[in-house]
Amino acid sequence: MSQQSARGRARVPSPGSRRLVNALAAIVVGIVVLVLWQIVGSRVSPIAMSYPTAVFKEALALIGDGSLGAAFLSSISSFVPAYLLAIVVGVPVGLVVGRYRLVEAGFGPYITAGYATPLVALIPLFIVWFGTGYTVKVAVVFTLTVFPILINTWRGVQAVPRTLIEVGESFGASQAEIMRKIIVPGTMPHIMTGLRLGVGRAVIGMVIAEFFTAVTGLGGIIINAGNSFDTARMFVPVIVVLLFGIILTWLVGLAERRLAPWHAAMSGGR
Amino acid sequence: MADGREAIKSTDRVDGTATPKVRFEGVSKEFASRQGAKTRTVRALDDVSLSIREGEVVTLTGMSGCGKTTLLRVLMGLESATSGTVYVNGTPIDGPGKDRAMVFQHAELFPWRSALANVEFGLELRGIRSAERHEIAGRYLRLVGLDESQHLRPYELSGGMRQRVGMARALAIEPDVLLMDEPFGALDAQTRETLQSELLRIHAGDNRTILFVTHDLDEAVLLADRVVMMAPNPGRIHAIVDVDLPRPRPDAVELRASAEFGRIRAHLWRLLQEANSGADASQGVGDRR
Ligand SMILES: Nc1ncnc2c1ncn2[C@@H]1O[C@H](COP(=O)(O)OP(=O)(O)O)[C@@H](O)[C@H]1O
Ligand SMILES: [Mg+2]
Repeated sequence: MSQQSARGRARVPSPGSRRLVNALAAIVVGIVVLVLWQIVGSRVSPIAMSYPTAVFKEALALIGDGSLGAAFLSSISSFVPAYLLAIVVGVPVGLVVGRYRLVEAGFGPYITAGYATPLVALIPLFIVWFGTGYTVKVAVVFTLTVFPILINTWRGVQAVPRTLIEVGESFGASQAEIMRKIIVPGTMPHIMTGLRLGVGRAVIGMVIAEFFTAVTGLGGIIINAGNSFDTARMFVPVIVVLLFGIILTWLVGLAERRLAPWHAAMSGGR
Repeated sequence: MADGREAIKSTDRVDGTATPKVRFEGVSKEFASRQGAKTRTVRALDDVSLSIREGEVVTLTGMSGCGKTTLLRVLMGLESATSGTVYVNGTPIDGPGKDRAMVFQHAELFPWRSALANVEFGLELRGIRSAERHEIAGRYLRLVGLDESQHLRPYELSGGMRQRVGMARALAIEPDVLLMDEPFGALDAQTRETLQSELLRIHAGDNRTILFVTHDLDEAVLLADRVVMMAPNPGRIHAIVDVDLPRPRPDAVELRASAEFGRIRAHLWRLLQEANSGADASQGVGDRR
C-alpha cells in the first residue's frame, strides 16, 4: 500500500505541463534578477553598474539610429562564414582522423594541443598574418570553433560500435560506403555536440576579435562604450550577444533532434 | 542406451558428386592475445574440416570459448583463417561476399534506420533502386512477421522484434548461406521458441543452407539436420551427430516431446561433457574426429 502511494507521488507530469512549469520558473528568476538589478543599480554610480530601464533606453536609441543593426550585421558577417568553414573543415577532418589510425597518430597530438591552447593569445600573430580587417576576424572565429567540432567528431567516430562496422563489412560495403552509411550517421550525435560547443566558442571569438583587431560590430560598441564609461550603452550589445548565443544553441539543439532523434531516445535524454 | 551411439552416426560425407555449399578444409585460427607484457597465442580453431550440403541446417554447439563464433566469422570472411581454406560453392572465399549473410548475436541494427531501412541496407549496397528496395524489404519484413512495425526505429522494438529485423536484413539479399550466431540466445524462452518455429517455417519455404551457432542443446536438435559438437582448447570438432527427425517440422512442441528428440538430446549432453572433460587431457573419446 505504501508502495502504491509512493508510485502515485512519483507520477511524472505530462511533458507539456512540465515544460510550462520550467518556463515559469525561468521567467520568475529572470524578473527577480531584473528587479534587484534595477533597485541596486539605480542606487550606485551609473559607471559602475547601470540598471535595466537605463539600458532599455540606450537600446531604443541604438536601434533608432540604426547603429545596433549595423553592428549586428557586421558581427555576423564574420561569424557566419567562419562558423560554417569550421564545420566544413572540422567534420571531415574529424571523420578521417577518427577512422584512420595512422592519420590519428600523426595529427591527433597536435589537434589535442590546439584545443587546449589559449588561442586568444595568438591574436597578435594573427594580426601580423591577416591584418586587422575582416579576414582576421574570420580567422579568429574559425580557429576557436574548429577544434571543438573536430575533436567531438573524432571522438564520435571512435564511439561507433565496431560491431556495426562489421555488419557493413559482412554485407560487402566498401570503405567509402562504411564511411557514408555507418560512420557518418553513427557519429552524428557527437558532431551535433561539437556544433553546440562550437557556438559558444565562436561567439567568444567574434567579440574578442572585435576588441583586439579593427574595432567593429557588437564588440566594437562594447569596447567604445566601455572606454567612454557609458555603462548602460555597453550592456546593450552584451545582451544581444547573449541572446544570439542562446538562440543559436537552441537552433543546433533543434537540428540535433531532427538529425539524430534515436540518440535522445536511446540515452533517455530530454 | 548403449545402442544410441551406434544409431547416431557421425557423418561428414557429401552425398553424390554435388559440390558442398560450404566446405571447411583444415581450418585453423590463432589469435595473439596480450597478457600483461607477454603475448600468448590462442588457438581458437584447430584443423577444422566440415562440409555442408545445399539446403542443410547445421547447428554448431559446445561450451563457451570453443571457437563457434570464430568459425562463423571465418566463414563470413570477417576473420581470415591462419591456415586451411574455406570454400563456398566450391570457390575459396576471400573476405565477405554476397553469397553469405550473417545474423548477429545482438541483432546489431543501425539505430538511425527504421526497421524497413535496416532491411534495405544490403540491397542499397547492391545498387537496387529505392522502389524495388522498399518492395523487397517489405516482403522480408512480412516473412518474419513484422510488416506493421516497418517504420519503427530499433530502440522502439523489443529484443525479439530486433532479431526478426536482423533475420530479414540477412535474408533480403538472398544469400546462399545464412550464418547465425546465437541469434535467440538473449531472448526470453517464449520469444525464443516462437522465433525457432519461424526459422523452421522459413527454412521449409526456401530450403536455404544455414550454419547456426547455439549453446542450447534443445535448439541445436530442433533446428538441425546435423549437430556439430565442438571442444575447447584448442577449438575443434568433437563429434557430429545426425538428426534424423522428419522435415518439415511444423510442430516444435510435439517434436520436443518425441522419444527420438530426447534420445539425441541426451546423446549430445554426454558428448558435451566428454568434449569438456577431454579438453585438457586431449584424449578423444568415442567418435571424436
Ligand atoms: N579477437 C580475438 N582476440 C583474441 N582471442 C580471441 C578473439 N576472438 C576469440 N578469441 C578467443 O578464441 C577462443 C574462441 O572464441 P569464440 O569463437 O568466441 O568462442 P565461442 O563463440 O564458442 O564462445 C576463445 O578462447 C576466445 O577468447
Ligand atoms: Mg560466441
